[in-house]
Amino acid sequence: MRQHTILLVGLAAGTVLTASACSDAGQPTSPSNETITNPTPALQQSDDPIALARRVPGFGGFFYDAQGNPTIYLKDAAARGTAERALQPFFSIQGTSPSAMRVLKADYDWVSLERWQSAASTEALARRGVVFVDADEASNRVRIGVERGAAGTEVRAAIARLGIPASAVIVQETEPVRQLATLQQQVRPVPAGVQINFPGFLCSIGFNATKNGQRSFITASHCSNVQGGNQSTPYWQPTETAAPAQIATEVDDPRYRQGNGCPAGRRCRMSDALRARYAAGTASSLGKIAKTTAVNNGSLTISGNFTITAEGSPVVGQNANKVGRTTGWTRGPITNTCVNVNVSGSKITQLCQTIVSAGVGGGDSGGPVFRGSGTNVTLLGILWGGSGSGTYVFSPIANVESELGALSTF
Amino acid sequence: MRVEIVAPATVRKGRPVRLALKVSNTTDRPITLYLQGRPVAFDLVVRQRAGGVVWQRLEGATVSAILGVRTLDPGATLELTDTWNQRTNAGKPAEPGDYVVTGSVLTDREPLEAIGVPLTITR
Repeated sequence: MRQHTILLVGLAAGTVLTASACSDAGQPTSPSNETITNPTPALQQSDDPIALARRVPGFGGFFYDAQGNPTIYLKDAAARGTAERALQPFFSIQGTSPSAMRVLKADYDWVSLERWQSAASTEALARRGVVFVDADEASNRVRIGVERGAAGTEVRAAIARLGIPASAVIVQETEPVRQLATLQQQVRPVPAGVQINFPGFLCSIGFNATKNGQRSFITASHCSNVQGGNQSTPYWQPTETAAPAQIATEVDDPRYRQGNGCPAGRRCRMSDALRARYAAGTASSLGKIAKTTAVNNGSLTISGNFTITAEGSPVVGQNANKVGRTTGWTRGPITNTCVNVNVSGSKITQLCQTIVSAGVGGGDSGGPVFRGSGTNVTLLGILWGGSGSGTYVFSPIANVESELGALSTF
Repeated sequence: MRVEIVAPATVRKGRPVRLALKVSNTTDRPITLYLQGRPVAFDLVVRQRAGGVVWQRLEGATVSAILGVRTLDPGATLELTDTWNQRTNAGKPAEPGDYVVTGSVLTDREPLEAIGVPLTITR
């Protein structure tokens, strides 16, 4: 119901709700500290069965049951006729008749439920782990959602102190409401694929790894103050401005070398990769890659994670996925393996790289490349370059580990 | 913001052609640019007046997919230059005639495109 929605927005300041448990037309998607420029028009009263029925004596809620039947709570079934007349405008709009309406015995009237919801909200929502407080049309109760292991007992005690009948309240465990972040926003614990910033530039995290007990991430070598060689480059996520606490420091970035198979006049490596060690206060998620809403749709909104379960080698013809802060999740076929590639505008040649025909953009550097169509994926390497907007180049994971040493990646 | 190509109107056959791509902040506020590559990746294209591409700076080039963040103050200009040796992408000398030079700077979104300017190669 409408009030429920408002309370949820108040609860989740700075959060974006993905769904409402109620049937209201509302847009509970704006943090409370933002101006809503396109507010949803107020419901016409005839569209709102709760508004129409609340004057019916003993009314305790209206909803559609699992079979789609309109259902009303009444303390006294004899009030059905009054309820049908009150709801006639709503049913007219629906093109149905109120005679099909089921009547359930209400224990509490709606006015009381709303009053208790308001009082319980003040108490409960101030507590850590409480997710929502609802006057629930479908159960004729006040329903309070709490995170698993959160303060359910405390909430019940608070309800009792407020004089709300314990039998009128349902406390249930529920998932927390989280903000929907994008690849360009702050994400903790830090997964692969999200934006990182070092002085003057933006890149993406390739994958998390541990080496010698150090929690680390791998990204492109050119995503550092100097490509090749360790300058202790500082990193922020998503940017130093948005989140000033430094998340990591470059610790391993082998120098590019000449000779020994490297073309004359150029400097070479087998991978464009470095390792940065996480700061003690920054949580990271080993083996997780941020997953956006769909492949090749340009979305940057994180909807879940991929889980790395293996490392693999690229094979021509197989599809490869990548996630990067600019073009999100893209997928396309591997077209070439073990290709020696000159980097435009530099003397650098990357040896034995892999080319994929798929979307890429500036800022995707360092992002993870992986194989698989489900949640569990096989890590193939990290992206570092592109040719046009439809071809990218990545360093295979075997090359990365040949230069950075063995890494635990999942 | 203004994006423009600076090129000589006329150049003798075989002489190097200095080309510049300029991005200017014509507003009264600083502008933040998100530019791909390190160094900044920009393309220059020389076409015959009839339309065929003779030379493209980034033809077949692999550009690092990094994004540089640059702030252009009001009135400031970012100038990106290169010299065309009058060789086509196939390595042959460009013939005397009328050409058009266009250019673009790669960003994290659509490229910043400059309107083409004429270039004549004389004997």
